Amino acid sequence: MNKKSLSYTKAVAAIEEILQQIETGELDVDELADKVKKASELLKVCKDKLFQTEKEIAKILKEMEGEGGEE
Amino acid sequence: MENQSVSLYQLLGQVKQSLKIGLPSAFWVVAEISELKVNYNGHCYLELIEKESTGESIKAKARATIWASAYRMIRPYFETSTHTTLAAGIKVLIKVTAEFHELYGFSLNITDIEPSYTVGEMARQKQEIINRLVSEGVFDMNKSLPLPDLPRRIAVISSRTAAGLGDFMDQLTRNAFGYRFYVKLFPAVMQGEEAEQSIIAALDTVFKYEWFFDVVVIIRGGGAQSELNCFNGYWLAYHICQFPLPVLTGIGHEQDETIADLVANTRLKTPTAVAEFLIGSFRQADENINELSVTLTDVATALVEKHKQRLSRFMLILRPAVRKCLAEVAGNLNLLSIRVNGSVRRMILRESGVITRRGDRLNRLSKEFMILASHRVTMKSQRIREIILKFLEHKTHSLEMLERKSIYLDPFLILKRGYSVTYYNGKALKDPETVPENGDLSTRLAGGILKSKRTQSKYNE
Repeated sequence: MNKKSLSYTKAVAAIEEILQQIETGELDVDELADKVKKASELLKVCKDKLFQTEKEIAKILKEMEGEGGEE
Repeated sequence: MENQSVSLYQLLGQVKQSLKIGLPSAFWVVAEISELKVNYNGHCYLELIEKESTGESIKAKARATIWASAYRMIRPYFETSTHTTLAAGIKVLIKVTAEFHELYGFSLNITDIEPSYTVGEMARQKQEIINRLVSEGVFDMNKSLPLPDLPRRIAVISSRTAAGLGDFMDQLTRNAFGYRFYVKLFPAVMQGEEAEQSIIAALDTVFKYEWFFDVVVIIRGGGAQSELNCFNGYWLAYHICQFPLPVLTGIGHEQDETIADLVANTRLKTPTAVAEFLIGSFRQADENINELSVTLTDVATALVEKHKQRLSRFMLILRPAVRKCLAEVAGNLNLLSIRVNGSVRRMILRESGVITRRGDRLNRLSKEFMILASHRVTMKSQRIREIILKFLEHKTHSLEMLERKSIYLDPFLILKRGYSVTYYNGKALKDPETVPENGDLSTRLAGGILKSKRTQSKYNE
């Protein structure tokens, strides 16, 4: 598994954990704002993975040009 | 001997003749095609073999022909029935007549074919390969890999010229949702005898970038339905099974699944279906994120609401409690003030008693003191009087004594006795040197004053 898609999965897992903490009432009201902020940031990260072009990935793909078998 | 001999042609003619008599009708024969070629005029020339049941060694071999007129019928019939081409490596059930030609020798003339035999045979072979993969423990390996939640980086194995490839790429890169995929083509030959090795080679190349990609897609858009043999090979299946990334197939056929399909992580019918599947994964992730976002808002709001309610519940409980508490305290204060009042009064009474008593005592004591003091003063003053009287008495006596003594010291009396006092400048003169020449002197005598002037004097005569 490559890092990027793992980090998507991890981000989702982290969001779910925060949601669970809030739902089960494990969370202090004082922490709520921070956690909500963190979750929103993670959601943004996830969204970006769906829509945004990552320069690093595009670069690696470019470097791969000329690879692959002959037809 | 010579007149008993026959020519080669005669002999082969006899062989031909005996074959016609001995094997007059057609036979249904099972054989494997080991070679096949179709020449320019449409005739198909084959080599048929039979192998030892135990191994690979060949125990029978014969040339065969399908004349163009027959081949035009047999080929499409076979291919539509079996979804495979008539090619080397296939086992067939064919109707043949044995023929012998003086010049071309022995050959079998194929007049008909039974595709169902090949289908069965292929199924058997396929099953054999599957059994082998299962017994080697690899069959489920690729299937058991988890599909990534977000298959963004896709290695595509396909032919550059494949019709399905362009559609596949377009579908992914121009998807309606704006999802971003990273697709890289690893070209391979997708049909014919080289296909299997070519696809394996492409997989090996992808393997070098295994750390980069999320999934591998094998697609073969379009092409003849019959060109699927390469996907039924043991070695390709073996590679797919053990590939460390999930393999998705879209080989583009509607019939039986190939072995590649069976061992792939996810089998889809066409390249389009693969693209839809990948976009679907993104859609699901997208929805999941949206849902999480909504849930986040909901649960956070709910938590805040819960705490709000708790606070207002606290307020409800707190207000009467505070009121009650205040009332209690007020009551206590009241009682306390009454008690304090009483005890203060008692204390004042007590203390004023003490003060009165103290005052009385002070009064008495001061009076006593005064009496004592005045008594002492009286005593002292009497004593002072006595002392003064005594003193005065003493002084009077001393004065009397002095009076008596002074009589002898009275200068007048002394003058009377002949003594005199000379004054210069009003002062009694004791040293003649202090008087200048012709200084006025006055001398007091008993009988009066004698004025004189100083002349020369010698006093140490």
